[in-house]
Amino acid sequence: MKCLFIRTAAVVALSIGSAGAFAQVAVVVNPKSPLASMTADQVSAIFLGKTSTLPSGGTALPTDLPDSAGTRELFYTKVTAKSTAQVKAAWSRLVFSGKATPPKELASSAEVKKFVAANPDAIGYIEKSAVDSSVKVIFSAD
Amino acid sequence: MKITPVRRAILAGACSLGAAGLHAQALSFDPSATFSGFGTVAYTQTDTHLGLYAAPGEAGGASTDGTLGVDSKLGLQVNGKLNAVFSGTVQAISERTGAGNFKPQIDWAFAKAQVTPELALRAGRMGAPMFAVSDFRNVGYANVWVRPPIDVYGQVAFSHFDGADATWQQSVGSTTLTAQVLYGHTDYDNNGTPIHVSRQVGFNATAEFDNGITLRIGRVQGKLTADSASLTHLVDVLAATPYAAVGEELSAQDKDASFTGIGLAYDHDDWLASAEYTKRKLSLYAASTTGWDATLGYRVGKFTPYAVVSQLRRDSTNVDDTIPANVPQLAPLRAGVEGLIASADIAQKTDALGLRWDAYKNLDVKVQVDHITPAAGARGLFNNVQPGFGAAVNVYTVALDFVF
Repeated sequence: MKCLFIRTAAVVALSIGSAGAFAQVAVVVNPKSPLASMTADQVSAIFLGKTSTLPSGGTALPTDLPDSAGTRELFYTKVTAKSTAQVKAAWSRLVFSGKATPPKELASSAEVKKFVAANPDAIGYIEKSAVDSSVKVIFSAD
Repeated sequence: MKITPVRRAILAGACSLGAAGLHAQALSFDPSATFSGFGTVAYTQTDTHLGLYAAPGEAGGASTDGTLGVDSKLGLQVNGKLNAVFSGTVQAISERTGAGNFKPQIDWAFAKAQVTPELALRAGRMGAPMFAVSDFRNVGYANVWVRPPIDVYGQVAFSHFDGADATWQQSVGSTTLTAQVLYGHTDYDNNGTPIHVSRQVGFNATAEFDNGITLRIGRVQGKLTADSASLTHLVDVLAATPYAAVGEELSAQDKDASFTGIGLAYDHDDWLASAEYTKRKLSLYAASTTGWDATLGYRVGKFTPYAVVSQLRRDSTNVDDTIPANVPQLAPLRAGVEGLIASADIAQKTDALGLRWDAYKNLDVKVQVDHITPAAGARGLFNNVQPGFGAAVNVYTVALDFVF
C-alpha cells in the first residue's frame, strides 16, 4: 500500500510537470481509413466506451497513453470534458459490468503511431508535434 | 485501472468457447485475457446497541461496536476474449455473506457472443438488472456513495442470476438505447435462509442522452421459495386449524415475486444527480414494499460532497391474520403469525450526507453519515433487533475504494 502511494505521488508530480509541454492533442487514425474527420462527441463516445463502432462502420480499436503521460490528461479534459478520475470511474462501471474493455494502453506516442499505422480501425491520440505521414489526423484539440 | 494483457486465454469459460469459435472460419483467432479488480476497506459504526446495521442479506452487522465487515469487499475479474465475437467474464467477490463469513462467491461467470455490433447474447451467471446500478453496485469506486442506498437496494438481497440474456444496443442520433431481456433463476442465502427465485423473466431498458441524462426502466418477475424450517412448521400447524388460509398466505413455496423500477441519472460538468423509484411485490410472509432514493452531488476539484434521501415503505403485509385475538388456546399460534409479520416490517427512511475524495488516480476515500429512522414498530433493515429498538440510528462510515 505504502509503495502504491509513493508511486502514485510520483505519477501525479510527473503529469503536472509534463502537461504544459504539449499544448495540443491530435486524434489519429490509419491513413487508409475512410474517415476524414470526427467530432469531439464521436471521439469521446469511443474513448468513454459508449460505442465501439466507428462512424465508418468498423469496430474501433482505441488506444490510450499511460496515466503518467500529460497528453492523456489533456486529451480527456479537452475532448471528453471529464477529469481522469471521472473517466476511470466511468470505465470501472463498464469493465465490472463485463460490458466493455478499456482502450489498449501503449507506452508512447511512437507506439500509438505504429499500432494505428498497422490497424485500419485503430484510433489513438498523440501530441500534435508527433504527427507524421504514418497516421491521419481526424480531430485536434488546442 | 491497470489492465494487464495476458497473451493467452487463462479463462476456463474461454476454453469451453473454443469449439464454437473454431467453426467461425471467417473470424481471426486472437485470444487475450485481461485481469482487473476492485475493493473497499470500510469501517462502519452506529450509535445503538439495540440492532445491527447490515448490508442486504448479510448476517451480523455494525452497532456501537464498529466493524470492517459491513462494507468491506474484494472483487477479482478476468475477461477472456477469443476473437471479435466470443468472450467470457468471471468475477469472484469476497464480502460478508448470509452465513457470516467472507467465503468468496462466484458473482458472474458468463460467455458472451457479440452476434452483430448491436446484438449480444450471454449465458451463464450474470448480474441481475434490478436497479440503476445493479452491475457495479459492489464497486465503490464506480459510485459516489459508500454503498447504494439500502432503502432501495435492500429490497432484493441477490445480485446475480443463472440463465441467459440478449442485449440490443443502438445509437439513435446522439442517444444510446439499450434493451435487455433475460430468463433464469437464482439461489442465494438471505441471512441464513436459503432462497430460490426460479423462472425469472425480466427486461431492462436504458436511454443515455448526450447531455448527461440516463433513463432506465426494468422489471423482473419469478417464483420465490424460502427454505425455512420454522416457517414450514408454522404453515403445517395452521393447516390443521380453521386458519389454513393464513398459513397459505404466509407460505413461501413457489410464490409470485416481482421487482419493478425506474431510474433517472444526471452527470454533467460538476453536478451529479440520481433518483430511483422501485416496487417489490410478493405474495408471502415478507412484505410488499416501495423504495425510492434521490442523490445530489457537486464536484469541487477532487472532492464531491453529496446528500441522499431515501425511504422504504411497507405497502402490504400480504397476510390477513384472521386468528382471533381473544381465544387463549389460539394465543401462541397468533403470536407466531404476528411475530413473523412484524419481523418482515423493514420500513425505514434515511437522510445521508457524505464526501468523496478522489485521493489518488485509482483510489478514493469517502466518509458518510446515515440518519435512519425505522417506521413505528418496524425493525427496518437492521438485524438482531432488541426490545427498545425504534429510535433513529446514526451510522458512520469511512471507506477506501480502489480499482486495478
